[in-house]
Amino acid sequence: MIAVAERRAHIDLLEAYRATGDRAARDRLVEELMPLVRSLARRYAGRGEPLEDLVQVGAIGLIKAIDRFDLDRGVELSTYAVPTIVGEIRRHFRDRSWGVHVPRRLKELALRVSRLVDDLAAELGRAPTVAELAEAADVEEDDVIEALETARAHTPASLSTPVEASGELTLIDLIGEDEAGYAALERGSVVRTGLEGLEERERRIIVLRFLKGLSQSQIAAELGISQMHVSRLLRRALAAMHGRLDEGDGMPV
Amino acid sequence: MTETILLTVPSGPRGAGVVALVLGGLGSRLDLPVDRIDELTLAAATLAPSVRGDELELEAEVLDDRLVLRLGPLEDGTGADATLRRVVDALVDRVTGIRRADHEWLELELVRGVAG
Repeated sequence: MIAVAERRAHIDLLEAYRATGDRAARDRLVEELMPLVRSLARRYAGRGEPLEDLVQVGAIGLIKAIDRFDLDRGVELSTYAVPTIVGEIRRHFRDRSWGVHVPRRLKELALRVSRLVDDLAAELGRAPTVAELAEAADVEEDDVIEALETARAHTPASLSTPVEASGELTLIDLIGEDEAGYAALERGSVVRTGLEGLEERERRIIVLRFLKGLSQSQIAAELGISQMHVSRLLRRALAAMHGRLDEGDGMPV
Repeated sequence: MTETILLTVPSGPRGAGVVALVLGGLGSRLDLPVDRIDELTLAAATLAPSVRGDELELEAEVLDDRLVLRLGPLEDGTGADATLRRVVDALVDRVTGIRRADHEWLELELVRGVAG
């Protein structure tokens, strides 16, 4: 049970958000309730998904709950939000569950092929073809196609994943700020709500690819990460965008 | 020689995997680099949430120098969505809106030899 003063503050913020569409009020409310999201996310930790990713998808559930919450329900927002947050976390696991059952042989090949993509790209000056990968890996082309799909579907690394041994520098630090670019991408869009709902770091990788026009390979080179990693991050960012736009079960990207 | 492949899949996660495998195979026949195949798959996945109903229909046409993918039926207005178009336009060489059975579809094209 939350304190009366805290509950009153939540109601005030909700009313401000509803009355004026004040995003700052909603952001503040999200901030206030993030400990609840973290607490719920921790229950699902250790099942193959980074805790930070679970917190992120849980936050999406929280925002959905805030947007749907009816002040006249007679329940606390935090109580109402729990099933939505948990549902979002479970959905995250469900969407990725097929990857859990990938045979070890295929996982190993996926890892090997991912590395070969970068090695051959450096050697050829362009991304390799499936045939070139098959020859380099000494496997059939069908195996390469399956391995590439496995690599893409593999749990995407969080943008908060450290990229150096000290753990202090994360991928998002490398991506940098580009608010102007984001604004330009967003302008005139009927899916503004979807983009606005993205986390700052998710917006940035979208901007690099779709506003600045960098190819996956160029982004990979600029950030010092693999092309497959960029591919996964793009999917993650676009999937997060869809999560805002459509509460149904769309195809994950 | 032209080869056409028709595919109907659920517009959910299992469908996504099937689409990726099929496009991987077709892209491989054209000897397309893997990053371009990946972006075509990403374009299809980006459009999938805009499909009308629960099933995504794909028609893939493999020509000598290009791969044409027709995807639908989509919610009306999908092709006119500025951000969605900007994303999809960046991922393939050409995007064209078409109509089939009174519904909106999009035709995506990847051309061999065009830089991604």
